[in-house]
Amino acid sequence: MHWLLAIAGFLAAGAAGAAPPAWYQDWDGVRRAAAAVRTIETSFVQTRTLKILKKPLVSRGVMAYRRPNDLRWEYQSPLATLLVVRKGNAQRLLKHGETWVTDSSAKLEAMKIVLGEINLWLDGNFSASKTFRPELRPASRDQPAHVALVPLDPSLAKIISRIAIVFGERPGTVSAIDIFEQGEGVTHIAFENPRYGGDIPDNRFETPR
Amino acid sequence: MSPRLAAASLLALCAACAHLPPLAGISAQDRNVAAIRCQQAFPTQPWRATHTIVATLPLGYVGGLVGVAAAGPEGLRAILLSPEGISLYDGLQKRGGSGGLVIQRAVPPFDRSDFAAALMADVGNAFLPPAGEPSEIGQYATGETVCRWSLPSHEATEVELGTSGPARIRTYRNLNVTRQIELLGVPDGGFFPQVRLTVPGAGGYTLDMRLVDHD
Repeated sequence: MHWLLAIAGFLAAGAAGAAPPAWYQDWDGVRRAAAAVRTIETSFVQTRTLKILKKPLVSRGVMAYRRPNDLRWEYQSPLATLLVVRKGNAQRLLKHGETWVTDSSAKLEAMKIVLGEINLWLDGNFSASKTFRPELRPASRDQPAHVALVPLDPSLAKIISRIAIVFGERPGTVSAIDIFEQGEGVTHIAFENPRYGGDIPDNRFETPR
Repeated sequence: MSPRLAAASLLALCAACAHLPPLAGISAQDRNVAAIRCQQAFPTQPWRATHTIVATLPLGYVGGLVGVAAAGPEGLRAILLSPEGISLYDGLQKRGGSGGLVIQRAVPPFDRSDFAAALMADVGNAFLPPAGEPSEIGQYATGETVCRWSLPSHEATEVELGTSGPARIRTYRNLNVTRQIELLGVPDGGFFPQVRLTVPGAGGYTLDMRLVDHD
């Protein structure tokens, strides 16, 4: 779940509409943009390609983020799962039949480590991360401007080789995220219809009753 | 020989010579129909399928995964993904003479030595038919029609038919049920919308698999 929190923090950074178009040119710009954000709500489509599948595996969900560190990352299909972070406490649930149950596969201890860093990311202070080495990469012929997050821990690098957070056309937005694995496979997450700065009720960051 | 060792040897011998309860005979016509219907428990190869998997483990632990499996000339391949799309396990059980299990990726806790074999057995039992024709076709004392494949090493596989087609697959070792697989819903191309696999016993678990896609 490391990357989810990184994404949330950086999406928040991307939500600062008042920042100049080149706000991501340097880390100071990122920090300033991050400081302006309050909330973000968006849906997303996740596409996982595998060589053995003719069609990619498509998952859909929604995300909500509220400063300083409330997060809801919910997959609605094909497998309903829910990660809720409220005031630093993380819970991951899984829909089993009609009931939400605690997802035992969640590595909450690892998440706690990351939660300790989320404030760094929300402050745009990526260089202080103990999990990822961030690199700001300007647009090139082959790829749009993005931040590359490279795992520092070799054991994590065996799972995720790097994460690319791609900036959108609108200044201060993120259009997509690509998660690269060692060997085969890329997971592409495209955000749709993001809304910034609205009030998000507390119950969006609570587990279902 | 001590009495205890003698008793253990006798038990082992009994297990070795024991058989599943005999099936009551049915007419030749019913046998032929049952043989065809039992094969409908398994999709026709080659195939590829994607399922969501909810695993209920000992001590009540529950976890969710996405499973991608494919069967074809090279063998049976199984991939497990986290909901976030991260590949956790990728293994190929080679077919035929070359045999063997090739693990292309396994991240903790899916790198345990016994995990790969158990996973491939789960997938193989649920989606691959036993080799050859059934060794017996008949009825349980309770009336259900069953196709039974008796395998070497005191193993057996049964497909139990319901009123509308295959309903359950059971595997046995030394007369003990090792897996029960319930086939739920109306199949599409040999794939049932829901498959529930149960491994009984102290370290047992249940996998609730829902079909996402197949070809």
